[in-house]
Amino acid sequence: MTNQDLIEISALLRGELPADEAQSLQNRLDADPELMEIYLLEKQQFEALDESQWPKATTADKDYKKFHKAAQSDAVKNLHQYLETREDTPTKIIPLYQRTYFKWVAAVAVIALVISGILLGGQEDPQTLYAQYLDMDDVPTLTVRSESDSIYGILENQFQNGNYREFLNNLKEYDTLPANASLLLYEGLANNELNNTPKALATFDELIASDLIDAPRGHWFKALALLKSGAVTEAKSVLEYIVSNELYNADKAKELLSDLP
Amino acid sequence: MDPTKYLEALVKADSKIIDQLYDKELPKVTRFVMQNNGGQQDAEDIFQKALLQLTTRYVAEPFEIKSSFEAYLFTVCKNLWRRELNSKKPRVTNATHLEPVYDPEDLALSAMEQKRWDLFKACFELLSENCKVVLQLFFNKVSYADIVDRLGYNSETVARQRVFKCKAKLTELVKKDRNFKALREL
Repeated sequence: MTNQDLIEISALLRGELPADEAQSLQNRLDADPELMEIYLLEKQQFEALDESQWPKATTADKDYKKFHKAAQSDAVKNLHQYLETREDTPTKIIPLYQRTYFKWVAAVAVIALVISGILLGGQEDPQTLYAQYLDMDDVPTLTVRSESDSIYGILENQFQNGNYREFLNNLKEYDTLPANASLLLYEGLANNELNNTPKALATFDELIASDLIDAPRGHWFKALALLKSGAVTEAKSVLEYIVSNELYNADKAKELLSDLP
Repeated sequence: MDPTKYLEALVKADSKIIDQLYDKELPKVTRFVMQNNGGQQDAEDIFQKALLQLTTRYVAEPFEIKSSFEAYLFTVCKNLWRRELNSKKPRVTNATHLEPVYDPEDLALSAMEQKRWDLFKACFELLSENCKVVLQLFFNKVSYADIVDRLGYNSETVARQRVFKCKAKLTELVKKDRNFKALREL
């Protein structure tokens, strides 16, 4: 095996080798088990580290029997049975984007994953971290059970169903509602989901400047909004402020800081 | 909680721990899948598959999670979604015709693939920051001309040399890894 072999293998895996040279290399791979082993290792590296691919295993792989046996073990069967019979239904979250034809969607998503992988060199991208850290449990509910038909109930329902434009339009109609931290959080988050970052930030700033009990939550959501918009440096600055002042979600802020580039 | 305790809880089908994971972690996975063009049903399937995959792998050969369990679970879910997007087989996600989540063959394969990904990723993380950037571009098939532009190298020859050295280093790290022996015969 020579350095030239390695260069050709890389070129083949990147799709850069002319057809005749590719065929020649393929012939040499078929005839040389040592070279084939190197090729397979290179191929696996490509599949693992190229975000648009995935390192596929096959039933002919060495460990397959062991893993297949484990997949049929009582432990896995019992877990599956429990998962299938869980009574709990996860909280419904309406998709931000409507699902369309699978192949188109897959292509777009793979490209997005590739771009984020390239730009961030293997770090989690800000969008992913936003998705990972945004927890709607952090937003206090607007209503109590008896209020489900009130304007708060209607607004909460619109927000929870992802009807953010409708929610914001309705909110404008009821601009005399008393100051309410949850309402400000919902308003900021709705603007954020609609990618209206300046309005989202202004709303969170309004909450932070208020004397409402939940005002400190505004810092956390402001950091997430900045993260979603790609303003990583500014997001880090807010997160550092949360940690140093031990504000709401200080532990999560610390964890998120360690995940950021 | 120690990540191994979570794995043991999955092996025992510990309902309390599993319910906690659903409450705390599924919403994050749901948001990720939805932001990458999936739906809620996709997220729930992926989450269930991830729990089954982790259990399968732990039963096959106990392994150590070096991050928090929650972070690792999220990574497994992300990879399962990536795997799904790379699958040529379209998913059928309407309510009356769901793709089965429990498929021992597919579970075994996905667990082996995750193990393989862990190995390459762990070795990749041991590289210098410069090598990581260069190889990330290289593996994602960015042209050498673009690599020169982005990283300010003097010429494509310099970029090629850098890629060659970094890739050799990565291969060396992979070969040194104790888990590599199992991969050699794949």
